[in-house]
Amino acid sequence: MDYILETRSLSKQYGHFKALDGMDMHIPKGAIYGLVGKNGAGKTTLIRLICGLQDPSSGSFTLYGTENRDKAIVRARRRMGAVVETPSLYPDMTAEDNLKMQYRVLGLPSFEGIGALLSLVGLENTGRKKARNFSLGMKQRLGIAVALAGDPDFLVLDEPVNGLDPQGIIEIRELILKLNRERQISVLISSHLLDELSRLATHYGFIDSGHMVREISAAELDTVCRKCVRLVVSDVKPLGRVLDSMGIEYNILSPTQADVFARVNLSGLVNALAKEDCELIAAQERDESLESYYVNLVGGARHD
Amino acid sequence: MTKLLSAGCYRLFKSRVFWIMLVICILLQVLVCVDNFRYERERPENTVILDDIVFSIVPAIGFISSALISLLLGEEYSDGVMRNKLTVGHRRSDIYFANLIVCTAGSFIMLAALFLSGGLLGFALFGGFTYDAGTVLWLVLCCFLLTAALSSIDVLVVMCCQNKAVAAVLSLALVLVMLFAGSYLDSVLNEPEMQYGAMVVHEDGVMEFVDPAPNPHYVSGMTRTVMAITEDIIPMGQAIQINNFALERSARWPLLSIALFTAVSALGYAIFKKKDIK
Repeated sequence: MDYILETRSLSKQYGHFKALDGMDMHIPKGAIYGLVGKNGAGKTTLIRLICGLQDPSSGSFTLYGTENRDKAIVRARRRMGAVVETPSLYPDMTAEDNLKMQYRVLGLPSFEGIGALLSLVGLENTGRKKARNFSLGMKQRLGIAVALAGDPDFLVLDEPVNGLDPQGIIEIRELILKLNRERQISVLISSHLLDELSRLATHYGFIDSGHMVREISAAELDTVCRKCVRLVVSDVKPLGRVLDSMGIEYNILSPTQADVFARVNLSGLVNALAKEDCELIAAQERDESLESYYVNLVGGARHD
Repeated sequence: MTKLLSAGCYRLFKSRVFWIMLVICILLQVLVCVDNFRYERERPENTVILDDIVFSIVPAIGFISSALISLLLGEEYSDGVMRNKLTVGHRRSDIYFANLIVCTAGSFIMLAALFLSGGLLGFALFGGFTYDAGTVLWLVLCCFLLTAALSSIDVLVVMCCQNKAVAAVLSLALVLVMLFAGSYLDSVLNEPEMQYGAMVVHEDGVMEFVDPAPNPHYVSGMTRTVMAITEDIIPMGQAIQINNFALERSARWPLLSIALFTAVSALGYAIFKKKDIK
């Protein structure tokens, strides 16, 4: 698989505190990668290392196949844009002037494209309004526009919807999906808002105490998190035949366990299994959300 | 680095702080000229010369440069815009030295505004320079180089301190420290070697001048040499000497300013290179 970003045992220490501890991460090309973790898990520290704001204490990462210690990393970074924590804007400049500044920083030959960029993020009508007078949502969108100025194919967004109202959250989400679908931009989003991430991410990385607990694709997560009835039987082969005859979707887990993805008439099932000389030993309903999956993964008390 | 220089210059000329400070520089010199003109009218026996008008304001450049650079560069950290440059792959060396060049250029513009406004208005009110053209040009060169040295100190402070307010206070405090140090060294070095004109009054009321005696406050030998070099290295020390037209050691000022600029810039970059940017 083609990875845009890979980290290998990446660590960062501030004094005696280890913010990142042997972090391994893989972001596939074209993915919207949701980095999930609680406050202080190391999400922002990881992003700072990737963006070159800080150097790792140990370990390494590769960006577009270029290692961070290689001098060519500066060229690789040219292909990424980032909004780290808060949008980096000049408050006394308009949206257009902020983009002109970034165009100059990038050395782009003309300001063609600024209009289209402002339209893309919905800021085409801000006129002479200074960035200091923007709402938080507008600042976030301008921050994303600045990150897109260099036409990157990898966008790093650190908690982009923090502090936004519901309308603002929807707008940012729509923008990210549009960028991924229409421009094939890979996105790394760090967040602790699981519900929002579940509407966006194609891949997840669960981070806790500075290291990656699990990486999983959205498809795999769906499979894990689907509502199902877990059946424990004496033999799954007769169970499989019975469920096939009922037209019910199922997944065999072991010689005696299977997950059934439908509401099952247990009485009917027991009778059908009995004819096949198979016993139903246990049945348990499972209803795992991303939240409960995350909590089970990293630990923590449930508050049902 | 050319991209960063272009962006930096755009930022400089778009900055409200820059234009406000430029106007302040011009107004300052207008005030100096008007005040001196009024003084000369009231006391015709005291002649005001253009040299005083143009060069007496030089110590102010320390404060002007410090305020400009701490406000301009402080935003790089406080508004996070430094991250935009690092994220897209600009090297730390390019960022540091581009900022240094732009800030030094900004300070040069302020100094030029002081000289031009004072020179033009002063020429109209008080006539030409008393010193020869060569000396005037040499002093102008010294002023620009000491401004560059001051700028390098301000850039070091701001680029290595992520708190905008702390950086501003630290910059201004350093200028004050340099000013006081320069003043102190200047006053010590200006103590005469011998004390003249001491008088003794005898019991019968007869007054008698005593022979000149060595001044106990006079500093000599290696101490004097070290103090003189220190005063010349400190940019504000040079500014005070220019203000007083004490030009005996002016031949080495440009070299010392260049050396200080180089050393401070190298130190500033070394610190910034290793800094964890938040």
